[in-house]
Amino acid sequence: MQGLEQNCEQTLERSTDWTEIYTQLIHLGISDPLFHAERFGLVPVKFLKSVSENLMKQKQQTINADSVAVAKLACLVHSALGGKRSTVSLESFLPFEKAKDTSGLKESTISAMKWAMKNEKLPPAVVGIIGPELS
Amino acid sequence: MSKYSEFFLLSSAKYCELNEKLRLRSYKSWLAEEMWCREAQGKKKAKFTLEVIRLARKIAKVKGIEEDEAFQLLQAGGEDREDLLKEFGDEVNGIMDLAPSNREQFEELVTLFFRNRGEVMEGKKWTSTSDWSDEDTQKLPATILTAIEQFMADEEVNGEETVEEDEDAPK
Repeated sequence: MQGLEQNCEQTLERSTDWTEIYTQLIHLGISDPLFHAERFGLVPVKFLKSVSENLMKQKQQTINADSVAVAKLACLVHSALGGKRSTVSLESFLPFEKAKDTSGLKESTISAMKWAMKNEKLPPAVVGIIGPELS
Repeated sequence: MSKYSEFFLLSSAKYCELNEKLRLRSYKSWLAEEMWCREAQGKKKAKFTLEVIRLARKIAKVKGIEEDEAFQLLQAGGEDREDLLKEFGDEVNGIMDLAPSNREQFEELVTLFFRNRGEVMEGKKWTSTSDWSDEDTQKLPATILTAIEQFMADEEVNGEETVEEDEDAPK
């Protein structure tokens, strides 16, 4: 009976806060009619989660981009105080983690392309185009 | 067309054909309204069960029996239940009136699914069943209800699906 009671309490606590999701989307700046209040209930949940996650990532990257100047200054101060041994990256002063894979390429694709660049003779023009994407 | 709607609106719609004149559109996910309806049903069930547990504790204390035994008594039929009703009739009846029926909750979801995704063949044209009523649901044959139950489960599984690995990608 105790297990059942815990399950019931968890069910009551765990339920999705739809108002929070809606408010979050509005806060993230979404204004598409698809998400307007009168038809919000008709949006597929899978799609809603995906949009919410993507918007959150975009928002974080925007905040990161806005913080680069301050982060550079922080790096400078850190180097000045820490001397030559000071090894700190710009990312450590950014509010959010830098997106790992901004190119949209899979890890396996990147490793295959790196292997091809190393072991096969690719035209320099091609290397010039794809090189920066892979680094 | 909006920025995001192409994700599912422009792609060719897929349907679960219930019979030659009735179908439900598949989004490979539950819709927000359907999900919050089911969550509300789950909450109602949980609240009811907690009320039953509270009453079982009270009965256990008064009768000097184990809580689990009192809980079983509340769910039992026959003489045991008759005895219980003599002593705690008002409270038992009061709680049991609140008991959510599985059948009613399922029918509520079926009605919602038809309002949100249903289409019926009128003449030679598929028309939305956005005005589908509880009465319509109650008239559905068991075979269609079984198919809808399966459809609901499939839509939920698809909604939780993660990105599939590309088999041809170099490892």
